[in-house]
Amino acid sequence: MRKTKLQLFLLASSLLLVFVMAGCGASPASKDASASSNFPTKNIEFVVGYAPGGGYSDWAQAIAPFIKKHLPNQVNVIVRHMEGAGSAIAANYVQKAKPDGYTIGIYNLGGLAGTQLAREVQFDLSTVTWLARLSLDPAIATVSSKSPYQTMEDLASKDHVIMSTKGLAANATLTGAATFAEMGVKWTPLNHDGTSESLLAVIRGDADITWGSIDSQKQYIDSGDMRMLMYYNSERHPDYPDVPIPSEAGLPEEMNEAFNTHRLIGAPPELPDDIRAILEEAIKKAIDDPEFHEVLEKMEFTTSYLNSADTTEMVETALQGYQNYKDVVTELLAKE
Amino acid sequence: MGFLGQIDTLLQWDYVVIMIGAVLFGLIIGILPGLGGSVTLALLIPITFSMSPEAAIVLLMSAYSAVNYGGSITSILVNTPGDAANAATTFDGYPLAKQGKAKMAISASIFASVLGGFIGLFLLDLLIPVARTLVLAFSYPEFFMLGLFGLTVIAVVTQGNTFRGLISGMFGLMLAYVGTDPLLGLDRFTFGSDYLWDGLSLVPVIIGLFAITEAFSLFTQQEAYGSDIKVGKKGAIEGIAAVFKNFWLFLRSCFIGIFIGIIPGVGGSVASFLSYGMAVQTSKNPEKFGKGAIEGVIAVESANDAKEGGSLLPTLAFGIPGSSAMAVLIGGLLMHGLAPGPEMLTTDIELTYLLIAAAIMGKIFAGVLSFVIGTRMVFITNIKGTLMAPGIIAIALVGCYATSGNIADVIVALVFGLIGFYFKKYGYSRIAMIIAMVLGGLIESSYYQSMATFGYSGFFTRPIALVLLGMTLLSIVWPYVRSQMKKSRGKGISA
Repeated sequence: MRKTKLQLFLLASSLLLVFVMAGCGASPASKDASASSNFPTKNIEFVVGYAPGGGYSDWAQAIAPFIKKHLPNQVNVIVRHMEGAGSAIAANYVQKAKPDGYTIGIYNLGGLAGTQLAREVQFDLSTVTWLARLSLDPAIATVSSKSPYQTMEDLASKDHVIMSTKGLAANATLTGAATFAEMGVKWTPLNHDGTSESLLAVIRGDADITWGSIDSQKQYIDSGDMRMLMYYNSERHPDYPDVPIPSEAGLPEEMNEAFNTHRLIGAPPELPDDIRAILEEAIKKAIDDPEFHEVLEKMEFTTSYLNSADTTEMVETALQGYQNYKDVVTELLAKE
Repeated sequence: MGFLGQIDTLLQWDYVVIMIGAVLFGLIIGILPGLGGSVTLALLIPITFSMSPEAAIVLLMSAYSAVNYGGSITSILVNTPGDAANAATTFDGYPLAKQGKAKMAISASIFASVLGGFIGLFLLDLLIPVARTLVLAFSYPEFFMLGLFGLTVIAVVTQGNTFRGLISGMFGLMLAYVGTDPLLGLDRFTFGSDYLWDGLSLVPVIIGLFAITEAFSLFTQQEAYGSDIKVGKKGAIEGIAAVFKNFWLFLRSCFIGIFIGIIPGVGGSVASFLSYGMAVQTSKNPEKFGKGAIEGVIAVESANDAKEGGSLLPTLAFGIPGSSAMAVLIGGLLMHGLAPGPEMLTTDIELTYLLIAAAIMGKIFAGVLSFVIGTRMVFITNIKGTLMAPGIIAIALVGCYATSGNIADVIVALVFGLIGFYFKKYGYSRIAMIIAMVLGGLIESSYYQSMATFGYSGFFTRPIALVLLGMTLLSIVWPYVRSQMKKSRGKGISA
């Protein structure tokens, strides 16, 4: 229904354009008036669910000019910050936006999947039109560098472990809870508003351990304030060859990749295929752009690109993985 | 005093041009209500991509230094704070403007800001060797005691009307608990709206309570709030003199600011409220406050700027931001290959000194510029109230919307405009309510955090927490002791 209306509108407007062009003759010839390749004709809104200054905002601001560069028509890709509720407000906004390609968003898969499981929200990650995966940010477990615990097994011997968290529905907390559940470790959460406070609690020695993404903690590991005990991925990190992955520490193998954080670009559900293809193409070209790689290098970001179809498949598997640990979440929330 | 060596680097003409441009930019952002330091930095960071790290530091620090001044000008003139940190400036700044002393208030606030900023950065420079120990000395029991100490301010600012003051405070506490609960991270009093997950955001509430409420009463009372009073020509000099007259108060406020700045996790607006409260408590005539006491403006503005020096400390020592603006600054520094953290105190120490020098120079430039602009904007107080009111409402609501582009913020501001109007009409305290709302979340979360890590004993065995507890008790008992003392001396003036 909506689609036919859109086509009718586009037909009408292209007819109008033809008349106008015939009338004045001096109109720019570069404008292609056919319905499918006409996208985009106006600026694209690129929604970020976090405040300026964070990793997601930096990513969005870095890639936006390159998406613009590789789009067929010269329109701007405008980054809009819509912070709050752990990016759920932005996810809801994109979910409800008109699927015309003029609203896209950057998604934190790990965080939002946890939120979707634990709380009542309007967005549904399984229906979002995925355009690309930009990067992969594996989960890690860290302790203070002054901590007596050298391995995860050392913690098992302690009868009361304090885990520094950022809300119980957070992806990192879920990772920790699932790990401790497998190991049979008893723990209490020490809750904070933000990453910096929760890291500082560990550095200060008030909490024993914390979970997070490697990007958010790398600087503290490299500066010698924190020590990594576990790296959640299919193989060990080349820069930290001594840190084990879950399956090497006696944990089930499906935990290796279940909790990784992915940076994705998505659009509202039921985005028409031709528009999706145009956006997907522009994002892919942006990621391959050598100039963009210079910017990434400056920011110490790495890419891990997946196209639209592969991202959709990956999200499905990830959501299934979270579903498997759902009882860990419900148990967590029922505790009190 | 390592930063002194960097000052001459900054006086190269290209850096001076960058500084002036950045300061103007920061001032404009600051004058727009709702937009604060973190927005300024976020907007400027993309521009720094093509610059050298030194130029980037100069640009970011100068713009950031200027933001606060812009915010204090609007707080005083139209009761509309630029940012949550300026909110307490409205308490006495606006009443002063109403009395025709806007020029004096503005010059005092800018002068206190600049000088406070100096002291903050100066102390930062001295504290660098002990930065790490200092940051780690504060934990949850200390946060809790700080919050508790802050709450006693309510008792002081509502003197003579304690019952209504308590109700206002309770109302503020109630509002503080809207959002995500700190124990489990689940919804609480959110009425099914994700807008409330993070709690009521402070800026729209403050804009509603002060700016919109004021605009409403301008309408109803038909008053032209400054027109019948002649603006003294000497206002500017009086303002600067006022800072020196209250120099001890000024210094104390600076220390409070630095102290709060050092502690990540205790919001920046806490500094201005605490120092306001301290000013009221130590004043010989606390009843003046809220009705136009220049001490109130000086205390808030000096703490506000001194705080920035403090909040650089955890940034430099651990790479952990001391405030939201610092978080953005760290992002900007990372893009230039500078890793904030221990290296900034060892291998990159020269850049650190440049950062401090740039902040100091930025403050001088910003101070001069905002002094020139601010004192000329005083004419606003001569505009008739019925003409001003729609203007205030428009600016305030645009500011609310601009902060995060969410129309819900505008609704919150309007609702609190109405609440504030009735608060004012029936003699309830808006200041008490805001103080409780700012501190409520801190008190609650730090209580749970203390219990999870230290248990009850944490409150009573840690020396810093005990000192703060002692100060809290003292500030509750002190007014009674003082009035007893006055009575016994036979002077019998009611406090």
